[in-house]
Amino acid sequence: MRAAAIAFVWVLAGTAYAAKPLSRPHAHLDRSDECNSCHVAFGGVPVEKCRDCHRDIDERIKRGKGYHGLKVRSKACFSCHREHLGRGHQITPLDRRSFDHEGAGWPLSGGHVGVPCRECHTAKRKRTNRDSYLGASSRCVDCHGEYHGAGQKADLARCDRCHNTYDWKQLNANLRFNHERETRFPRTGRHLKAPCETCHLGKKRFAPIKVAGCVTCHQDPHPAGVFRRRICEDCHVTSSFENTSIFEHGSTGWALRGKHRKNKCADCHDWKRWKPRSRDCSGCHKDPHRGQFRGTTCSRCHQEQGFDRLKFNHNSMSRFALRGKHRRVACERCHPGGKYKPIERECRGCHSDRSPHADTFGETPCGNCHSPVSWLETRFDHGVTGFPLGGRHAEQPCFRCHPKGTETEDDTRQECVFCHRDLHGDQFEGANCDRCHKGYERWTIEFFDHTVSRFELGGKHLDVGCRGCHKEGHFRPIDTACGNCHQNFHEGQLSKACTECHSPHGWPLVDFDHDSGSAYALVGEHRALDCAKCHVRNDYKGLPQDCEGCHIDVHGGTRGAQCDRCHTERDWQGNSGQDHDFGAFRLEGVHDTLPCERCHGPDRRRELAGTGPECVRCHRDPHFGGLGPLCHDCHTQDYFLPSTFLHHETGFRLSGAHRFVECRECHPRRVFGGLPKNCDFCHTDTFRSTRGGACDHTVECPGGLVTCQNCHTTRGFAPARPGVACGTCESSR
Amino acid sequence: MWHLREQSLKRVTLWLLCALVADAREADLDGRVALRGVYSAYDDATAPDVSFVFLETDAAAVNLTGPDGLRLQLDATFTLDATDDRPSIDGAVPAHDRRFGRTESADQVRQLYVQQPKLFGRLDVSAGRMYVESAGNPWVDGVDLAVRFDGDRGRVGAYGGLRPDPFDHAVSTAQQALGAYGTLHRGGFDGALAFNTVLRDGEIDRHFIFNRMHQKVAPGLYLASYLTLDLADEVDTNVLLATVDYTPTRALNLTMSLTRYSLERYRDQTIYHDVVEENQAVVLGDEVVDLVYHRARLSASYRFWAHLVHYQWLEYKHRQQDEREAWFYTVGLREESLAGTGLEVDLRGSLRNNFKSDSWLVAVHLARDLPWRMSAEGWATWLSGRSIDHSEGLPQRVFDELHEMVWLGAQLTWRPTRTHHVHLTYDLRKETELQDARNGDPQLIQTAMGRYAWVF
Repeated sequence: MRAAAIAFVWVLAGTAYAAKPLSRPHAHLDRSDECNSCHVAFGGVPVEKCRDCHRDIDERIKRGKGYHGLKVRSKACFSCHREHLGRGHQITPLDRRSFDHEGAGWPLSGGHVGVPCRECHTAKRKRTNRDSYLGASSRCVDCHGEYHGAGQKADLARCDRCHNTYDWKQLNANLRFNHERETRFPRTGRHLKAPCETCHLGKKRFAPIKVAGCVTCHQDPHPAGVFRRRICEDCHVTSSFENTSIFEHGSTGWALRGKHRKNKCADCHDWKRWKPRSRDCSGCHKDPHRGQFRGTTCSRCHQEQGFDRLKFNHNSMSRFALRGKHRRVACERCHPGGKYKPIERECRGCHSDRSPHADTFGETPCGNCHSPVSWLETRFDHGVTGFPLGGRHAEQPCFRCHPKGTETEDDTRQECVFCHRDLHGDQFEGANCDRCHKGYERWTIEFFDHTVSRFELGGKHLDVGCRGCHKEGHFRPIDTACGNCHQNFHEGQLSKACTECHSPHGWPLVDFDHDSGSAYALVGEHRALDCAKCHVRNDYKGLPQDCEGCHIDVHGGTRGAQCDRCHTERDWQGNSGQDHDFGAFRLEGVHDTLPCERCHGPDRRRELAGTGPECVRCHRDPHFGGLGPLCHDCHTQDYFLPSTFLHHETGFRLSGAHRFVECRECHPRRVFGGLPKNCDFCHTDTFRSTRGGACDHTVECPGGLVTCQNCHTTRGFAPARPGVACGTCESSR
Repeated sequence: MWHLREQSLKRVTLWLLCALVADAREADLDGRVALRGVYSAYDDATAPDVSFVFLETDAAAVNLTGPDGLRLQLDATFTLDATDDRPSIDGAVPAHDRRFGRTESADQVRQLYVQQPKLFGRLDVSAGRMYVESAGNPWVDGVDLAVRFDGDRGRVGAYGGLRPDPFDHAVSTAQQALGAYGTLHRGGFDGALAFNTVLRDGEIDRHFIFNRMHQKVAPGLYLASYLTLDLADEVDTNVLLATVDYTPTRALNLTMSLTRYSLERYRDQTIYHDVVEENQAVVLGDEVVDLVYHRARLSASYRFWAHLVHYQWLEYKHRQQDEREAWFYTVGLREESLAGTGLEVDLRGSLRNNFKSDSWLVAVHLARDLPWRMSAEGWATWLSGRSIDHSEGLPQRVFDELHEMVWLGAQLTWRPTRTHHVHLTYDLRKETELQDARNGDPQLIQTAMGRYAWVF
C-alpha cells in the first residue's frame, strides 16, 4: 500500500513536470542534451548560466549601467524572463506605458514623455536583427542633431546647460553659461540685455562668431568714408549709441569747453560732411554785432562758458574806461540798439539832459568838477575861491551853501553866521566861532581845548556832549564840583570824596580796589558782578560777608555752612556731580555736613566713587579688626555712639545690666562668637564670693550656676526675682 | 615709659579750639563743634538711667601764616558725664559703668597736628597726632614728611613717632610706630602703597603692608581694593576689600564686593586690654581663636524716575572661628518725594539668616522738610527673630528663643541759620519677653538725644 502511494505521487509529479517547449529565442536549446546549458543538477537555473550567453547584459550589470545594472541587478533572471511556457511565449515582456525609465538611469521628463521608444532606441540586435533597447545614447545631439552647427565649442554641445526637456526655446532660468568668461567677447552695456538671436543669427550661429568690429553686427550709420581713420569704439560705448562722451574732442585739435560740451554732435557737425568748414565761431554762430567788430575774433570778448559771460574789459580794451557809477550801467544804456562804435566819449554824448548850472561854467568840461563816482561828489578845488573846505564843510554837498547851484564866490560871504546861527547868545560875544569850533572838523566840541577852562576834561567826560554839562546852552560861569552835575548816589553814606573811588574814566569804580579798599576781596565771578547785585538798596556798609548774605541756601543748611566745600566763586557748578545718595553707599548724617576735603583730600583729587560702604577705608577701626568690616551694623552715620547693634541676633539678648557691661568683659580675647550663654561663664567669681556670707550661694543654691535665673534677673543680682521663695535673698534686700 | 593723660590733651585741645574760633576771621577755618546730650531710661526702677554730654569738635584751619601757609587739623570728642559720680543702686550696677567706657575712651583727641604744605615747593611737613591716611591710617604722635612729585600727582613720605594708647588716647612711650609710603594719582588711577611697623620695647610688635587702589576703568566702572597684610610671624591677610562698582547709566548701579577681615596681629597682645577671668580662661583654654570673617555682597540700585529708587543687596558671610555661615537679603524702595509732596519714604525689608539667629525685619523711614528751616524724620522697625543654637550637636536648628522688637523714633532738626543746627531725637525700643530658661521680662528702653552743632 505504501509503495503504491509513492508510485502515485511520482507519476503525478512527472506528469506535472512535463515541461512545455522553450520560447522562440531559446528554441535552439530545446533538446534533451541541452538542459545543462541552463540548469544545474539540484541547483536550479543559476544567473551565471544566463549571463554566460547574454554577454552584453552581463557587461552592463557589471558596469552598473542600464535597467539591468541599476534596477534589477540583484534579481534572478528567471524572475522576469520565464521559460518553458511554450514556443510563443514572449520571454522579454515589456509594458511600454508602465516601464520605469528612471530605472534605466535616464528618467523621462518634459517632451520626452510619450515619445515612441523606437525614436531613441533605434539599435538592432546583431545576431537576430531584432529591436534592441541597449546602447541608446544619452547625449542630446545623438537624437536631436547638432542644432547649432558643427564646430562649436565642446561646452555648447551640452544642451542641458541652456535647454530643458520641457521647452526647447525657453532657456534655463539659472542658465550657467557665462558669456564674459567663456567667450572672447565679454558683454557690456546694452549687449547684456540683447537676446542671443540678435547677434547669433540663425540656428547655426552659436558657433564662435568672428567679430571684426561693431560692424559685424551693427550697421554703420555714418555715410561711407566720413570716419575712415576711426573705429566705432573711439566715439561710442555699448551703454548707449548716443553717448559719445568717450570721444576726446581735443584729439581733433579743437577741444570742447563750456557750453560746447553740452551740445550734441549734430548741432555742429553735418551728418554728410562731418568736418566743419571753419574752425572759427562764424562757422556755426551768427554775428549779432552785424560786422561792427570785423577783424576781431569773438573770443576776445565772449567765452565758451556762455555768450553773455563777457571777458571784455572796458577799461583796457576800449578807449573809455568805466569808473564809478558807469560800472553799474547796463551796456544798452550807452550802446542802444547794439551800437558799439563809433560812439561819443564826452559826457554830453550820454548825459544830454539840461545842465543844472545853466551857463555859469561855460564850456568848462564836466570832468573838471564831477567824476563818474558820483555826481554830487565833486573834485572841485574850493580853495581857488579863497574859502578852502575842510572838515564837515568838505562833506557837505555844494547846494547846502549854494542852494541855487549857480552862485559864484561873489555871491557868498565867508563868515560863519552867513550860514550858521549863533547858539550861544551873548556868552561869547566878540569871540570867533573857530576859537572853539576850530578847523570846521566837527561842530561838536572836540575842537575845544577844555584845558583852557578851569575844568580839565578826562575819561568819560570826554564822551559827554557839551550839553551834558552845559545845560540849556549855559557855558559860563559854572561850578566844577561833581555834585553840580551828578546825583550823590550813596545818599551820604560815604564820607569820602567821589574821586576816592570813582574816576572820570568810569562810574563803576574804575579806581576802586575792592580787595584792598574793603574787607571783602572779590574773586572769580564776583568781579564781574554789578555793584548793586550785592549792595542792594544802595547799602554799602555793614553787609554780611558769608555766602548766605547774598545767596539762598538751596540745601536748607543740610550741607553745612561752607558753600565753598562744593562750590567756588569761579565755578558754581564745580562740584563733581557725583550722586552721593545713590548706589551701595549713601551719604547721611554727619557725612552730609563734612567738607569734601575730609574724604577726597586737600585738592579733592582722590576719587572714591564705587568704593562701597566699608568704613575702614577712611576710619581707623577701634576694634582692631575683631568685629568685621560692616561698621554700620552697630553704628550710624548720625552718631558713632550709642551703638545700634542688635545683640539678640547673636542668640543672647542683652537686657538689664548686660546692656551696660563692656563688650570685652564677656568677650575676652576678642572672641565674639560661639561663647556659652550660661551665667557661669562670667559670674563664677560672683557666685563664689558669697561663700560664708549671709546668703552663701554655694549652700543655698545646690544647683550651682546653672540655676541662677531661678532667683535672679539680668536687671540686677539683687533683688531676686519677685515671688521666689528664697528667704535668704529676700532678707538681703 | 610715661603716659600723658588724656586730661592734659583735653585741656590743650580745648584751649586751642577756643583760640582758633576766636581767631577764625584771620584763618581759613572749617569744621564743627557739636554738643550732644544723651539720656536713656529703662523701664525698671532697678536699672540706672544713663546720661552723657558729648562735646565733639572737628576743625581744619588752613593758611594760618598766609597762602599755602601753616595748617592746623583737629579732630576730637570730649565727654561731660553728668552721672559719673552718682552712687550705684544697692551696689548692683555701677552707675558710671558703660560698655564702651573702657573699650575706647569717650574722650578722644583723634587728630591734632600742624602741617606746613609745599615747603620748598615740594615738601609737606606734619607734626602732632595724626592718622597717616596714605599709609592705611596708622596712628602716631610724631612727624610725617612727604615729598610731592609729578606735578603733585604723587607723594612719597615717611613718618615716625609714638603710638598713642588706643584705649585712653593718651600719649604713651610704650609703643612706637614708623613707616614709609607712596601715593600716585594719575588719570583714573589712585593708589597707595605703604610699609608700617609698630615697635614695643624696641622690638617689632606688628608690621604690615598696606595697599589701596582705585581705578576708573571706564565711565561709570570702578575697581577698588584695600589690603592690609600682616607680616609678623607669618603672612596673614588682615583686611582685604575688593569692590567692582558699575554705573552704566545714572539710573542703575551694580556693586560686587568681596571682603576678608581678621584681627590685627600684635605679638604682644596686651594692646587689646584683654581681661580674662579665671573661669573664662578655663572655658576658652589656650585656644588661639581664628577670628576671620569672609563676606561677599552683591547690591543693585535702580532709579526709576527722578525720585524713586529701588535697591537690594544680597550678602553672604562666613565666620572661620566656628565655620558658621550667614546670609542676608535686603530689598527696599525709596521715594524721595512722595507724590511731589517732598516727603521722603524709605521702605525696607530684610531677611537675616545670621550666625546664631533667624530674623526678618520691616523698616520704614520718613523724612520731610518743614517751614522755618526745620525738617522732621521718623522711623519704625519691626523685627522678629529667633535665636538658633545647633552647637550642641543637634542635627537640626533648634529655636530656643522667640523674640520680637519694635523700634520707633523721630528726629526734629532745626537750622535757624546755616551755621547753627539743633537736633532733637527720641528713640523707643520695645522688646518682648524672652521665652527661654532665663525668662527675660519685656523691656522698654527710651532714649532722648539733643544735639547742637555749630558748623563754621
